[in-house]
Amino acid sequence: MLTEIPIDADLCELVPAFVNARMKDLADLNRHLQSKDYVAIQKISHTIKGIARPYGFPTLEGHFKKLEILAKAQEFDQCADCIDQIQEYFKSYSQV
Amino acid sequence: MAKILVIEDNIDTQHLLQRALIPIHEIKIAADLKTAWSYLKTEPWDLAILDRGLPDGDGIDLCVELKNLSLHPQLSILMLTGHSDLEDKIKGLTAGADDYVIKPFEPRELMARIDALQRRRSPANGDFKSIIVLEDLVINVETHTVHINVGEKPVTLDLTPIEFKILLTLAKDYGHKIDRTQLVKTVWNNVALSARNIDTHVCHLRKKLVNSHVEIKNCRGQGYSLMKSVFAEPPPATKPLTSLPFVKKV
Repeated sequence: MLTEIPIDADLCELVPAFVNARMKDLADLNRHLQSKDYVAIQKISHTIKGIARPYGFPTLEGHFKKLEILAKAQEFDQCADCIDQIQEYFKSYSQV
Repeated sequence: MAKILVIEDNIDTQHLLQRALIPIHEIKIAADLKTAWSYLKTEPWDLAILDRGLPDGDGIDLCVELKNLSLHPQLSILMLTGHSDLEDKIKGLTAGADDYVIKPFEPRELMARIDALQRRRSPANGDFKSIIVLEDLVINVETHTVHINVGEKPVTLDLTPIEFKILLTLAKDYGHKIDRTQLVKTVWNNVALSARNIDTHVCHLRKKLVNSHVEIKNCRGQGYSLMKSVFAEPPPATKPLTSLPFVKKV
């Protein structure tokens, strides 16, 4: 499976599971946004921003860093935009 | 080799840490503070790698309690967290952490920091073999580097972390066969892998050792062994022929 940046060969085996887990996170993020649970959005974003780069996805790291800050500021519309961007990212990734 | 307790609830981070630490170190994972305490109270540990945001509390509280109780006076604590503000770092170090690493972490940097903490604990540890020398191959376990002594200038091999782990595992049993199951258990920590996957990694490693006097021998589908290369000895010097025995003199 492709990554944005080269990663250790032995980590490549973990990439599919990583990507699948993020798809689940996306569903949770949308749900949390609808119920305005900004703490839950912050928690998910905080976790993913810390692991995205080692798994080869620095762009995702950037998105989730931004989402964590927006969720802390409780900016609904901007959180929604950010989640849409993440969704688009995965859409284009799955088409590769 | 250190005995490390990893206190981390995120599965992806657990996998990254397992890949980085095994088989150099012995590790156990606790996904919450309650489990961590049960391990801490029943076994000796050299190092705890501690996350902050755990399901049942903040890792900082465990850090403070550990230092107060003096449960493991020799235990080093490395906080590994996404909390990157200056105040968070100060809080963690003041609570008793011996080091504070921000996520995302670079595995080689983490290993170097762990080695530094271990050196502080036991500056002249006679039991720990940090350099393994096999023929012309030199494996530095502390820095995770391997070089071949060629003439006056050593040549450093560019190995991936997995290739290093495979080489180290085989080197520790130099001259003896290690079966595939044992190799998978030691290098990949029991992750189910196909034989093809293992063979691919070993194949890449073999190519990198081609200029060395050691080689990896495939023991007919059963496993591998690291041993002296059959080409290690230079061919015996032969006397130059002064006359060809079968040439008819004209």
